[in-house]
Amino acid sequence: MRFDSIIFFLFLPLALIGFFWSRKSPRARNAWLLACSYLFYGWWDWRFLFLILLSSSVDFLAATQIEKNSARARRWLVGSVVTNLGILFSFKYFGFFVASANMLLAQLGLEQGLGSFAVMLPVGISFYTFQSMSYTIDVYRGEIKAQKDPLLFALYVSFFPQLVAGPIERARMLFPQFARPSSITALGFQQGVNLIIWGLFKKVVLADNLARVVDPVFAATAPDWFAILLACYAFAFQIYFDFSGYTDMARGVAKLMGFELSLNFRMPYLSRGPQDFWRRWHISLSQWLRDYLYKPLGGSKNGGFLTLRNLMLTMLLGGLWHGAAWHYLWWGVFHGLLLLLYRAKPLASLAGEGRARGVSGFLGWFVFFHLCTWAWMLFRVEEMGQFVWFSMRLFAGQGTGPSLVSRTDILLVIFSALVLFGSDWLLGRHEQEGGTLHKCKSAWAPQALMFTSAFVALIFFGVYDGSPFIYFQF
Amino acid sequence: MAAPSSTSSSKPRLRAWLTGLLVSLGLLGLAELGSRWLRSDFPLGYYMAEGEAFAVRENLNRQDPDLVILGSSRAREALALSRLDREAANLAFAAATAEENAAIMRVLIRKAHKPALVIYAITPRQLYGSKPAYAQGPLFWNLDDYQLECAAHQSACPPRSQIVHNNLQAGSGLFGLRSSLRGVLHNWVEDKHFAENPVQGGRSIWHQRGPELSLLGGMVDEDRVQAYVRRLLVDGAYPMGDYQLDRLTEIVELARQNGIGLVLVETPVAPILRRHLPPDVYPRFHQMITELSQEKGVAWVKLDELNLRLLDADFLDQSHLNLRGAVRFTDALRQRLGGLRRGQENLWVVGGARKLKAL
Repeated sequence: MRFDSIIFFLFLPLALIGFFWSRKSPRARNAWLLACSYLFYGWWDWRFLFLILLSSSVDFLAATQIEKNSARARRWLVGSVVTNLGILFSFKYFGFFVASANMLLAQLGLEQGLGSFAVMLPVGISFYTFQSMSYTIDVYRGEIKAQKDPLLFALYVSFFPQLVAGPIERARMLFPQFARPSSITALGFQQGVNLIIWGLFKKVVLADNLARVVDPVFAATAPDWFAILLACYAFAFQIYFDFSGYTDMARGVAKLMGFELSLNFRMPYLSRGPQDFWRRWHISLSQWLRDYLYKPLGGSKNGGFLTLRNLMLTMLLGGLWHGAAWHYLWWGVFHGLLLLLYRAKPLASLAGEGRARGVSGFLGWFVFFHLCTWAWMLFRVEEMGQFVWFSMRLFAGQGTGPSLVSRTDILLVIFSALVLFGSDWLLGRHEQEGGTLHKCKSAWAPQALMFTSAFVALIFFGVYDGSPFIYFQF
Repeated sequence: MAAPSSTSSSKPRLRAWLTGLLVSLGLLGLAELGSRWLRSDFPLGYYMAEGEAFAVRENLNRQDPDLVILGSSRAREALALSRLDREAANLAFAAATAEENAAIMRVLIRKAHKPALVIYAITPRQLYGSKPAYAQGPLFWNLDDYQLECAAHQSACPPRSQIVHNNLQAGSGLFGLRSSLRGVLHNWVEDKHFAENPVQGGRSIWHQRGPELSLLGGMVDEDRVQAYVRRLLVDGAYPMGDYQLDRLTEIVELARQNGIGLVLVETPVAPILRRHLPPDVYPRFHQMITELSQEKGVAWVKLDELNLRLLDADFLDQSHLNLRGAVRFTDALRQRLGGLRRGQENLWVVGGARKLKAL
């Protein structure tokens, strides 16, 4: 079930009531939350539960054996990683590789090919597979102890607020929270409700309305350059509101039960360079790739060519993580190239560390924001040819006939930008000034105004056509 | 609403938060009551930012017509309500197939004041496709319709959120104003006025531009019509399967069960389109409808029976009549239906002959 569905808002109070009654006994509470999590996930398709069970069982067993038997630890680790990646490959990438092989064979004149394979992609498979794998690797590295309680571990893999679209949590973050009795505080409840409303607003009011600007342009055969430009901005905002909206709701739901999930976004579009961006965008994935891929490959220790290789490989696989298609892979390559280019002098000085100030700060932000937005076009297109075609039209300023965009579309994109950068600016100021914004939170009128605005926007401008969260498909 | 991190002085903040939330909910409650009062008087527009089908639904919820026109945009353009002197509603909208019209029919039979007569203006396009599409039909469903469809067809199950939305819109004053308010805002931003409302007898946006818009002015050419037809063909054939025919049969059954008169009327398309369609399309279409008409005893008015020779000057494009064509077609149809009424012909079984008085 999705966070923006009615069924979820029926499910959540029931889950909270059960949680409230069982909160004092960690074991009973965990059993309840596990049942809720399986119900939440099985709502899509109960057969997918077997995959979660398989992944959980293999990693629980592997980690236990790694800790018990150091001589065979490496074999158990390899077994766990191969199983997890095998599941991921079978469901997510097998069809893509077969299709690519068919394409290659066709180009070689072998029309027969390998046939076609269409497997339904289990929701959130990339998220929970990576989360589960990180646990086994951490145990192997000796960074955490193997979990003795299978129930707690199963809950760690399937905890419903973050099961289908992250954040990808580490065991060291969630195990201690699951092991102790829960303490629900009024403040946590307040924060949770705020985050849920804010996340819902981002998703159904902003992201889903922006989709109505983006989709017709990317479905058109020859949109004009202005429509492409507007659709690129709109998609950059859409994907941020969609994904960060989900994360806010996930964090909010967890907070209602007294659990803390990681921050997954921290003002990403204020970045002045790719390094900064990846420290702010989908933080849990960036950190996962850094800790379990980039660093084991050697990171930047060996300098020169090897660092570049490691960067490119990490970004390429990061791109492929998002989806089994060439354009995702190229999106990863694009960001890898940006990371390389920003190591060179002129761009490195534009990116600069710390807070952006003055003309150079603005220029750094402006250049990177537009590069990043252009890269999102690569993410959104159906195939690479469309990216090339759209880019050519965009940069050549081509377009004839009536435009696909209306004034409403333009205003919506401007409004989204104001909300995005405005909320980021407020958050930045809040961080810088040590939380002085809270002073105005002691008055009820601004709160009432905020809630009323959010509710009115949800009622009149929310889109309720069942659009899935973009990141569910990954 | 960023989450605070400091815990100092959290009690006053919590009190303010709770007061703010309760005040906001109270205001919404008042707005809900106010909107219930306002709703019946709120202007209903057409193309209310969300598309024709939404406009049809909104009108359908607030009108109690004696005579209803069903069909696609071809029917919307073909029947000039101004030529019919009854309380009539043209509920036809773009791309509506028998599937969508069956959904509308279900709404009509739930009304306290049911229409006396339904004219279903039909072309082969109404029977196009062999599988459920559920493109716009769910807009007209309530929970019962949804359960019925979902039980019969797996593909009908996903638009659950649409049903929630429909029920909210029907049950809540605020949600009920959604489309209209969005329409007003959209028109204000786009500097437009609500178009005349064809559902309530206004001219469509094409008809407003008058009869000079016609094939004579080169609205379409052979290449465009050929491309249009090519897009509709599947493996070289025009698919008309049992699925849409079943939905048409459902419309007939619903009319019969609820005592609503029903006439199936063939709607004209331009000769240029008929030339480019595969030659078997119209014979198949006529055979399907004739068999249904004979089996179910429903009136079926073929174009040939109207003694009407439509010219290029009567067509807006390959599929739609312009205002001049619509007036000519509606007058001819009215005359023919009058003839049916006087003759008490056997075809007029569904709903009983008395329903003809609705014309």
